[in-house]
Amino acid sequence: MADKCDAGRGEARDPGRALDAALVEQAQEGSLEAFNQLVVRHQDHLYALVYRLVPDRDQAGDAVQEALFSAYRNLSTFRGGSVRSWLARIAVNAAMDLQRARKRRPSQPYPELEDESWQPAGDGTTEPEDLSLAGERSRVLVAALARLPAEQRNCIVLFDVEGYDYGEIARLMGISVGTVKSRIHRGRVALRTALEPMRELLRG
Amino acid sequence: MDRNPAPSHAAHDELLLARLYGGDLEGRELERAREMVISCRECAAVLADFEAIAAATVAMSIPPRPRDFTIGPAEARALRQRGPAPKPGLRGIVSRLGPVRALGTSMTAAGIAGILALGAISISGQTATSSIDYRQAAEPGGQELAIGSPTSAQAPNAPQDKNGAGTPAPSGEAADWASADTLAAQTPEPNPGESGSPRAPAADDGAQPGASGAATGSGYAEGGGTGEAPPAGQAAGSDSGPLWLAGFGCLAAGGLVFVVVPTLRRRRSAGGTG
Repeated sequence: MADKCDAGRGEARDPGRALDAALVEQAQEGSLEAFNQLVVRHQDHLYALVYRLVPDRDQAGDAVQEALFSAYRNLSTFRGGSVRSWLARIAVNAAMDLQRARKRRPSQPYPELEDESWQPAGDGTTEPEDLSLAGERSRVLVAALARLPAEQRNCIVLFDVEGYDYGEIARLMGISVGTVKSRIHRGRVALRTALEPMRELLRG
Repeated sequence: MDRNPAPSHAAHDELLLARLYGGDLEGRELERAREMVISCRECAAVLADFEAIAAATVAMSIPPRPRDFTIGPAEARALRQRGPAPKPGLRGIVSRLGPVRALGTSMTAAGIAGILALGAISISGQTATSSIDYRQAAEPGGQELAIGSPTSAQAPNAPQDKNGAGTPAPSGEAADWASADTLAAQTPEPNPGESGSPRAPAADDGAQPGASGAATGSGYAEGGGTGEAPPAGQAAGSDSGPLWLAGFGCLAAGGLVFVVVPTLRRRRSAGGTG
């Protein structure tokens, strides 16, 4: 638990930084191919991140595409450091823009919550029953996350999944560290309350 | 899972447990939370739930991404033409609009704001003045009338408005003018011995604080006045000529920028192509 407060947790998990840096340099010199290699390297991670924030496949896809367009346009502003974190920051901002737009124009709940057409891919050795359980667990979790206020959901995902520390989240979201902590703790309690009936499923 | 937690657990703070899970407790709070987890089975289960939910969130299966996000040459060309995203704040506005149009926008905004503010002030000034007139009309003794207008002092039962027109008000309405009373409470009291005795010396008037409105002959203290300050709105109204001018000037200049700049651009581009 204590290690969660360490600074720069997000960057500690960043493999292939040297390759990323080289690709960015080439992309800054005008190589579209280099930029697209970056996209290929990071698109799954970015999509997974945005999907947790915006639990709708199509909207998450749009947000990732917007983020990558924005990254391409702003390549010249990249000042070193982790490319993965830089792209993640842009993707989180795109996701938050989408959330704000949804707030302004409240429409249907996230349609993905009703969609049971997909199952997580198995690796060949996984039992079908385990696969089904994992799918069910994810669906339940996505539904519970989607019901959280977006601010709490963002903080929890960035902290638990992306491994950002409080300071990084605060900078990213433009709020104070205290607010980040409060949102995470309140979000945890709300998530637990929502998932209480499915406790056994989650403990699997 | 215990669906009916022990009564003692109901008093336990789950937020404290969440903070314990986040590693954000120290001192007495940390001790208390640890004690709760050790002594209460439900609290221990809550902590385990936080752990399980966090682990499940990380391990959550994500549906396959709907498409490939690589950028095509045509998109890249379009994005390069658009250039970097505009900067936020003032620099962003200036870089987005260009310095001249940013200046025009800010001047127009300042002009509109100024005109609206002055309009609001003059409207409130008029309201205050008319309230005072009604109060004067409702005053039975006529002393207030004498303060406000020497003409009125001569004929207390025929109250006049500031323009001299007679405006009889039924005495029964006096109690209804609470706002006038409130305003009267805020209006400076006249100097002792001045009420009912019109005073001529203009030098003294000028020396009275807030008497500049009366000195300019606004009619409030017409006929000599008593040195009583006019309502703030009216004072502002009489002094606000240059402000009105500045407001309209800003608005006109801003509007001009919006008209002139596109025209110049059109002419330049027409000259370039011709």
